[in-house]
Amino acid sequence: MGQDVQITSDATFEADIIGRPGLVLVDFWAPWCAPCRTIAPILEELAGDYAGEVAIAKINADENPGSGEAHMVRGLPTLILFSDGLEVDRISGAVGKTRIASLIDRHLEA
Amino acid sequence: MKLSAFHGDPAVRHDALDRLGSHMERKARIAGAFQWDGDKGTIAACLIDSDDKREWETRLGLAPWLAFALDAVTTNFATPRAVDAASALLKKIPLGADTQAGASRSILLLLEDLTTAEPLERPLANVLASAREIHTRLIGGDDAEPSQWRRLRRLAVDASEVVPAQDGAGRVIEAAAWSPLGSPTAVGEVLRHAIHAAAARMHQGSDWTAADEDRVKQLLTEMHETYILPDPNERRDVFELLAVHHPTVEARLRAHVQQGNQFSIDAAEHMLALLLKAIGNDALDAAA
Repeated sequence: MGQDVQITSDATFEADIIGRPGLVLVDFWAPWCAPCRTIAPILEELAGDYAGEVAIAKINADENPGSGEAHMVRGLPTLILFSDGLEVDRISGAVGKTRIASLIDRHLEA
Repeated sequence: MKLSAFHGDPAVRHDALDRLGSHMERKARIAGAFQWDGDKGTIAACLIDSDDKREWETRLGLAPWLAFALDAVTTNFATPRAVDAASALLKKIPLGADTQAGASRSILLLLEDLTTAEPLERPLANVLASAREIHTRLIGGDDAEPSQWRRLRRLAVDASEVVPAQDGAGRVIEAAAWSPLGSPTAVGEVLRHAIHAAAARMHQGSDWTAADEDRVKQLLTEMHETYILPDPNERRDVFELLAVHHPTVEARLRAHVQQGNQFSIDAAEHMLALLLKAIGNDALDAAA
């Protein structure tokens, strides 16, 4: 345990996510979005569960519209998994923790 | 660490419920799973003015899984009922009880309920049996290795995909494949998916058909393309336009949505009763 969810923004997205080696799961969320608030604690747990293997980040899509637009985010929450800066998978909606973990595992084992 | 519910002091519970009442009076409730934005919060967060799990333990003497369970089970309730449910839940916990073991006990009850609700096809039934076994062991003080939990999750996802017709039940079993010791959200997640699955089962008995669904989607698209796209001054949304141009369809849709909300509330009431039963069993662990 013991890894925080990283907060990123349009200004730092390139450095935080695209330029980062390995797997990074990015949560596009907004404060008004109830399903986003439902999965937020799940992502915090996953950050601990996968510490050292996968980084978990979140970006407020309202305050940072550029990144969502660039990655064609059409609904919230949307989770996009990047591997060495390239999108390799995505999942939308208030999905369960096991499904998110399963998505990560698929790419960790690839 | 052994916890002592409300530190054995009824005033701790009383003060928490008072805090919740004050926040609800000023309409400070938000949806979500144990969330506090500094001014407003979910039902659980409003009990302590925080969404910090450590603070939940320190101030209330309760295991954090209860915060997520409380928010999951009350999310479909109107505020007065949600407050009543919170009060019932807190008052059911014996003063001084260690509530940690109640997590797996709650999950076992919810899984048992799933088997009585619908006969599960073999792959799901097998994984459910494994989930029950692993939680039963945990109650006995023997938590499984992380690799065993991981294997259970893999089996659960595979089984859900093999039986798409029972994917609601599959999601419940998937959610149960985490140790609540390391994953305080686990019970809340099982509840969330169990409520969804139960409401979906109730929907199967309604007269809303796939043809209704297709017709509504087609008409909503038509409203958007015919009235909103060509006219930048149009302020009505597609549902308001549907009410004007297809009042019968809109009335039927509204009735369907209301029925769906009621199904979710009924399902949540059922799950709350199970949760109260699991917490009641904690009387055995009461330190008093």
